[in-house]
Amino acid sequence: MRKFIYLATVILGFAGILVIGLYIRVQSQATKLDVNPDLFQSYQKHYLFVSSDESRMLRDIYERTASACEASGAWLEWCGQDMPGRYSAAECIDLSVAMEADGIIVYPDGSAGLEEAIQRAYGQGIPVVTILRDLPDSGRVSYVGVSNYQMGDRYGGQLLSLMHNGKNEVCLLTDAGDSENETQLLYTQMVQAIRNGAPSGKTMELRTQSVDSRTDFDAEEVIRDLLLGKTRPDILICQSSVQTECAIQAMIEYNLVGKVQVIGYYVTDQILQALRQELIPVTMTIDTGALGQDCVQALDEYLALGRVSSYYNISLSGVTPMTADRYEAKQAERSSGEEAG
Amino acid sequence: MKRTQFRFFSSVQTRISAVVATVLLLVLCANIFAFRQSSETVQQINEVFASNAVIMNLGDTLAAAQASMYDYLSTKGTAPLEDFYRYEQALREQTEELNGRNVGNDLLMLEKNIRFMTHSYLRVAEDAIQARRGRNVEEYKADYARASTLFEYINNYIYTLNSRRFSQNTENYLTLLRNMRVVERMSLMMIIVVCAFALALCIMSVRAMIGPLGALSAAAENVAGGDFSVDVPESQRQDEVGVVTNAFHKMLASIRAYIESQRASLEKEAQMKENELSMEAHLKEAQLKFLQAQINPHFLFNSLNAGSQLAMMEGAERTEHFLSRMAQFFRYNVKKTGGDAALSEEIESVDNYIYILNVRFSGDIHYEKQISQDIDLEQVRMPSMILQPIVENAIQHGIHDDHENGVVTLAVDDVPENENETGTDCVRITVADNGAGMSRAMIASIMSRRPGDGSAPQDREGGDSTGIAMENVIARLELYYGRKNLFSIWSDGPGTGTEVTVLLPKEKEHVSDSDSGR
Repeated sequence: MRKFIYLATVILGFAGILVIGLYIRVQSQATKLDVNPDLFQSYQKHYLFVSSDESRMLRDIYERTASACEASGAWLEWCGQDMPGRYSAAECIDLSVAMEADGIIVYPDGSAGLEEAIQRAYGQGIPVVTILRDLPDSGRVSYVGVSNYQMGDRYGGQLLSLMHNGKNEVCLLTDAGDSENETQLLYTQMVQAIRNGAPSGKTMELRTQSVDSRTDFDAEEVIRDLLLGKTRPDILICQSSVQTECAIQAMIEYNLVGKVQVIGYYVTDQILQALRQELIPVTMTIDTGALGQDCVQALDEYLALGRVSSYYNISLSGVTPMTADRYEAKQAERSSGEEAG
Repeated sequence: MKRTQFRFFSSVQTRISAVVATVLLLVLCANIFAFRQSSETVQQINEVFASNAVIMNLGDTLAAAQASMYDYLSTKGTAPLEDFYRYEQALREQTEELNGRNVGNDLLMLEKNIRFMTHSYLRVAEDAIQARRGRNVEEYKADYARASTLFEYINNYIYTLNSRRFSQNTENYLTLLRNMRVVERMSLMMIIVVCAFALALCIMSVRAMIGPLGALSAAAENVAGGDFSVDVPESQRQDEVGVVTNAFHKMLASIRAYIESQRASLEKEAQMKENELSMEAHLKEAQLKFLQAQINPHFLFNSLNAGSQLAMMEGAERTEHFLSRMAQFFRYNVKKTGGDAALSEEIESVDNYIYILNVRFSGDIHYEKQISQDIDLEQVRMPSMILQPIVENAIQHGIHDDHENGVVTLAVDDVPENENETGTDCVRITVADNGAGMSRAMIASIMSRRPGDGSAPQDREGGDSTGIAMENVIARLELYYGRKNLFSIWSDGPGTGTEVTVLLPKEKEHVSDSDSGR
């Protein structure tokens, strides 16, 4: 009798635990289906990230900025993402105004009416921060990016180390979104840096090649034509990760390694691998985390005080085959630190 | 009739009812739980695409508002304007159902964007209508263009939200279907578990309640088979089973006690029957001896009469006298056995006995009589065969060893009531001898004997004795007169002689039928 009671108790206990477990599982799954706003974390502000460029660098910038927003109590939304149509930066800013966003972070794409749109947003009391490309006359409250002077210096320094004796053909890839003034500033500063540092016997002929990142697949076509053309440059300066990856791919496919020196931009897995294989001598990169932090800080500061510094400088650094592993380890450490935080 | 009162919660009826109620309640709860879970899941499945309907409805209303605004701007008609305001109101109400807060969920933020963009759209549309009213052509065209752009944005967002909602709802639908299956299994398992638990509860409860009845029935079966040694321990339970068990326990104890008493009674009865049979056997033996004793005296008496007549015919007077006295003596014995007699007849019997002994012992027995002249011996009635045994004892035990000097004296006199222990006037008969005497122990032994107790000396029945013992004499005297203290023995000790006194009350209180019947 006692054995029977023990056995019955054990069986009933297990069955009861099983039923309770199943019940909890069903309830938890049913709860997941609920879209009650009270079940989610609330945010004080709603910022919009505007960029028609969806390259790896911009995605990294968005993620880092979103992390900074999270810490600041703001929700960051990439405007126009997952929409059936593609919107220009100007349209996204108009959308943001209609949504009554609290702030806008925009990566200017050179679209028409962008400055006016930023001006309209500013008129509605919505601060706009531009990143990497400045539109000083647009009514943006702040710019977060690399100074063109600094960039020209750094590129000039890299060019000096790569130039061979004699005449060096250098091509600077620009984007349709880049403003003419900024390109001119960069160009001038590079030339100045080379003039200041170039030893005798080394000359440089610098030219620019525009690549329209707003048009799909345009970069690869333009770079291939450039590298396989009669005026193939000795040194190619890229200003985006897409340009850099296209150049690396073309060098591999058309056996141009050693014939063209590529100064890359940003660090992706493919670029890092190319560095390790010494396909390219250097790639320039920015600290996306610092950029995101500065963007959020600029918006928060403006909303709180009504004024903000018009320029947040982001440093530009170079990654060489020698420093590739260290850079990767540092990035991994930073990522794990952010995840833990 | 005493009615047993049970505690409410200890009654078997209550306990069975409680167990059944518990089982039913458990099964009911399990079914309610299963039904509720299924119902909730079905309801969730039914509502899973409701959000899509809301979004689609919002898109339709927005399109209707846009169309009515366009109609108004085109025609400036009242009906389109009324339609616009109606749709505007509907849009405001419908957007109220959308999320308006900044929360960490993409879909909810899409809702918020649609809500705010719709409000922006309505503001621009209202501006366009007001500009149309004010005939400001450029402004209302510009506002209409902005409104149309916003309309397109909102539609795209609604499309996106609807698509993502549909995707999510489809996923939710599949999840709910899986949940439904889990709920079905869970419900089935719960019902099985609850039923198993209920069954176990029933079995244990019934066993706990009915179990003692099994032991009781086994004990009852043994009892029915005649085995009363079976032990049924007392129960501590307060219910009917406990009462029945305890009652059975008590009943068994009572039956055992009754059987024991019956057995003792039967044993006693058997003993009594055995005694009775023994008495009957002794009685029959006594009657046989008595008949033999009767036969012999009659035969002897008749023979003695014949001898006496023969002696008379032959002229032997002394022989004829001897035989005649012998015949008288035995005739008295035969005649008076079992009845009473006059004192004179008793004395005559003693005389005959002394005569016979003197003939036998050549006149060695010295016998004296001292009879008061005031007593009419014929009128004094007494049990027969009283004096002769006393005299015989005096001769046999008193002077037996010294006949020459021994004297037996028979004295009869009156004793007034104040001089004796009977409390009435008595005739006192004293038989005294000067022979061996008796010790106090012997006197006490004789006085304490009663007929049938087996303590009488055996030699009394042999030899020359008539076979009647002193205890017989004492018993018959007491039975005849219904009094005690009528017989006494006195002696100063061995060698000092013995005196036996018999008191015959003159007012006889009771005459024993048994004596007279012998």
